[in-house]
Parts: sequence; C-alpha cells; structure tokens
Amino acid sequence: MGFSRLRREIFNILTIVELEARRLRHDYTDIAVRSAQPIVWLLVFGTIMSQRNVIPTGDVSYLTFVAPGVLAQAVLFVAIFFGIMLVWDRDSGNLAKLLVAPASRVSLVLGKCFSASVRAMAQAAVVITLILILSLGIVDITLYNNPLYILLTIPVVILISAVAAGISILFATIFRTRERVMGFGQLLTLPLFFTSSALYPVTWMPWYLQWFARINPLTYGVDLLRGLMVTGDLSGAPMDLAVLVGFLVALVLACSALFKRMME
Amino acid sequence: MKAIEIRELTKVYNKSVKAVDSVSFDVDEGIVFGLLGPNGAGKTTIIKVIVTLLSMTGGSVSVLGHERPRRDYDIRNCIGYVPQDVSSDAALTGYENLLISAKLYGHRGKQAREMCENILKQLGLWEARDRIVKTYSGGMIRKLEIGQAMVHDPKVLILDEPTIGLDPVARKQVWASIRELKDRTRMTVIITTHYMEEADQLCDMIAIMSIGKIAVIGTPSELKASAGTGSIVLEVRGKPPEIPGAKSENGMITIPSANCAHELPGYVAMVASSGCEVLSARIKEVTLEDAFVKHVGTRIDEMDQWSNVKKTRKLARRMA
Repeated sequence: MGFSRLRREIFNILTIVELEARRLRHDYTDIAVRSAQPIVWLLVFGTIMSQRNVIPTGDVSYLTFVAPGVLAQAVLFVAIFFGIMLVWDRDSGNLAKLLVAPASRVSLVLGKCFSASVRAMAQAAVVITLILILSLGIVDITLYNNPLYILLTIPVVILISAVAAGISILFATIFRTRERVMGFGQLLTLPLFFTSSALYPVTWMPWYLQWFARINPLTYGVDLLRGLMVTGDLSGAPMDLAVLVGFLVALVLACSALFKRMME
Repeated sequence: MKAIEIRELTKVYNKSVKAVDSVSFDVDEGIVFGLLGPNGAGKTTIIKVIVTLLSMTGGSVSVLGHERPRRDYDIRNCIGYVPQDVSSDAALTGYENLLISAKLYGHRGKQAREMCENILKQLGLWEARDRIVKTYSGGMIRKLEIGQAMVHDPKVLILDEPTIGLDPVARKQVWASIRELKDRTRMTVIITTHYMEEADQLCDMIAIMSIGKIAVIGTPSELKASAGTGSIVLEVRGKPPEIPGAKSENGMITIPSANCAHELPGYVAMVASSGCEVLSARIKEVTLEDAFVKHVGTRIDEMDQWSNVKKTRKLARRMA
C-alpha cells in the first residue's frame, strides 16, 4: 500500500469518527443519563465498602482506589454495546453506504472502534470532572497531584473503549442481530468488570480468578488509569499498553476479516 | 466498453435459497437500465453483487472493465449507490450527511464544503441544509441520498427502488432529478423497480425479472411490441360495418392497430359514414404490464401480494 493510499485510509478513519462526533453533538442525552451510574458506584458501593474496610487498598482510601475502576467501568459500558449501533446501521442503509465507499475494511473497523472512543471520551470527561469535584474535600478521594497525568487518562480511555468496541463489533459480525449482540454484551460486561482490578486488587482474588484477570484487557486499562490518577507509578505502563494495543490489533484484524458477513 | 457485464451470475443464500439463477446481461454506457420485477425476484441481490456488498456463488461480474472480486476497490471508486433502505444518517443534518460522504470519497476542506453547497442547491435542498434529516420528507431524503452518491462524479449510478414508499408528487420529483443528473453528466444509471410506470418513463432498456431469472430484455417499446399491438375501441349504436380483424360485441368494436392514434379518425369516419352512430372512441395502448404478463405469465401485483404474504408470515414466525 502506497503512502497516498495510507493517508487516504487515515482520513477515512477520521471521517468515520467525525460522523460519530456529529451524531453525539446532536444528541448527548445518552451520555448525560449514563453518567449517573458511575456516581452510584462511587458514592453508594464505594462508601459502603470503605466503611467496613474489608478490601486491602494499601495506603490510599478505598474511594480513591475505586475511582479509576469506576471510570474504566463507565468507559467499558459505553463501548461494549457499540456493536448494537453497528447492527442498527446495517438494518438501515448506513452501513451499506460505508461499505461501498473506497475504504479498506480495516479502516472501517478502526473507524468504528474509535467512534466508540468518541462517546467514551465524552462519558469519561463527565466522570473525571465529577470525581475531581468530589475529591475537593467532599468525600475521601485523593488523586495524584499532577494535572498532566489526569490529561493522559484520555488516550488510555480511547484505547480501552476501542478494545471494548472491538469485542462488541466482533459479536456483531458473528451474531448479526441486535438481541444477540445485546445478550453477549451483557454476558461479558460483569465478568470483565469483576475480574479486573477495578473494585479490588487482583491479589485479593482466588488463584483461578487471578488467571482470568490476567487475560482480561480491562485489568491492564485499570492499571494504567490507577497509575495516572492515584499512585503516579507508571512502571507497569509499557506492559499495559502493549497488551491493550495487542488486543486492539487482533480484534480489528478479526473484525475486518468477518465484516462482510454483516451484509450476507 | 460496457458499463456492466454480468455472466451467469448465481447467488445462493445460506446454501439453500437461490436468489439469482444464472443471470447474464450487459449494460451499455450512458443509458438508464431498469431491473423490473416483483419483490423477491432477485433485483436487489444483483445490485448488491454489482456494488461489492455481496459475494457471488458463481459467474462473473465486471463494472467498467473492473472484475469482481479482485478489483472491488476500483469498482467502489467509480460507482454511486443508493440502497433501498434509508441510508442518510437521520441524526445528522442534510449538509453534514453530504460532507461525510464527500470526505469518504477523498474531498477535503474548503473544496468539500463548496461541493456540498453546490449539490444542495442543485437538488433544491439548500433551504433545508441545516435541518436534521429525521425532519425531511421521503422525497427530500431520496434526493439527498442521490446527492450523497454523486460526490465523486461516479460513472455508474445505481439506485435500488428509488421511489419506493414515495407519494406520486415526490416520485415525479425524484424521476426529474435522476433525468437531470443523467443528462448533465452522461453517466450510466441502473435502477430496480416494481413500478411499471417508473420503468416505462425512466428507462432506455428494461430487464424483466421473475424468481431469480431474467425473462426478457428490451427497450420499453420493444417489450410492448412483443406483447402485441394496441387497439381502438369504439362504442356504437346501430349495426356496425364489417372491419377486417375487428371484434364486435354488445355495441363495442375492438380494432387492433399498430398505430392507434393515427388510424382512429379514419375508423370513426368510416363507421359513421356506414350509418352507424359512434358514441365514444378510445385507445387501448399496450402497456409494460401486458409485456410482463406475456413473458412472466402472471401480473406483477399478484406476485407481489404473494411474496409480501410470504415475507409477513416469515416475520411473524420469527417473532413468535
């Protein structure tokens, strides 16, 4: 593939992302309503768990520990059902239109993954803002004192949501109906969430669940977010990034190969 | 070069349903070509294979010399496609829809914006450009979709049931847009339709399809001629004269004629001069409907009802 073709494909990806950004700009109720859920996790679940002091979180409060987990969860929930939107697009003529455009299937899939990231970023912006407000002495949350690190959560959010959307799009290409994509999304969300380090340290889990945690991309995403938001310790970051990017590449390749099944 | 060349195209869905059965035809450049047939005849399947959305089970398809599936990318670069289902994004404005399409076909920045503005003006959608497409009428959406398919000046424009679900006024507007585009750009247009009138009005060449096969291909006049000639029908009082080839019953004379409009006055004068009073006269032209019945064996609306019933029942079964 020549350089000009590569440039064209990057432009295609950006155009598909722009489409989603414009959709979001016209209707953002979805993001506003969903923002309530992370706050419930933080204020209800977080508060109760921190009162009992059952979960060992080292020298940070439980609410501080769980804040990046709640952010990751918000991002996961936005992206893991993105495949349903793709099925909608298939059932209307929207997807057909994209598929007949001169763009490689890889660009289409990547464009759709990053479209989910657009929504996830909007969601994350709301959740991070709320966490920041809460950390101003309202509840016991102490974030790592470096604004640059808070900004760096954005590319991490993009990566986590792109991977989650990739999983969802893979479901969409395999199962092809809204109901099934919804069902498999539901089936996967809670295991992904509970076997990540979002709510408790991985070392707190029994050995077989630790094994699950190790193949769970969300674990690596949460680790990055916690490093940036809470501890400032980024020693695990190269490994975390490598795993997430690896997941994304594998998912995009699988989806691109299966994408034509959407229309059959 | 032919715009489209299809040889023995076969498409089988799920290893069991044969939607298209060994179909071959060519489309010359610069014409409006129509695939006419009831729902379920395989029109949309052929279209989806041409525009690279579906793989084929057998046969070969090439568009402007680009062979499927090896040259799919080149095919995508030279065709514009408007699917049967609404393909504009209902959540975006008309302008945004066009802009996204323009960018997908490689236009950027100021050039893309100016082009979108021009297309909106040409299609008469300028006033509505900043309205969400959800608020558009069916005819406006179709015109916008045609505009979106035109952003790269395609050599071949493919429209799947362009006027389905439109009211008669909107339908005529869409026809006018298609004709205007074709005259201005000299591109090849391929449409599918199950409306006889639409095929007759719009197409230079028509392929009549039924159950996965092409029954006959020809110009509208050839197809009509193949179904016989028109006739002149006179309502008379009194004993009519003997006219060779004419049928006469209950005071109605039916005279077959290849050129009804020109021969009508002559026959009226002749009958009147024989002392028989002519009460009314009318021309019964051969229609595409007659051609369809001749080549397929049933009326298109009968087949339509049958396939719709089948579809509805299938849907009901799936819901249950």
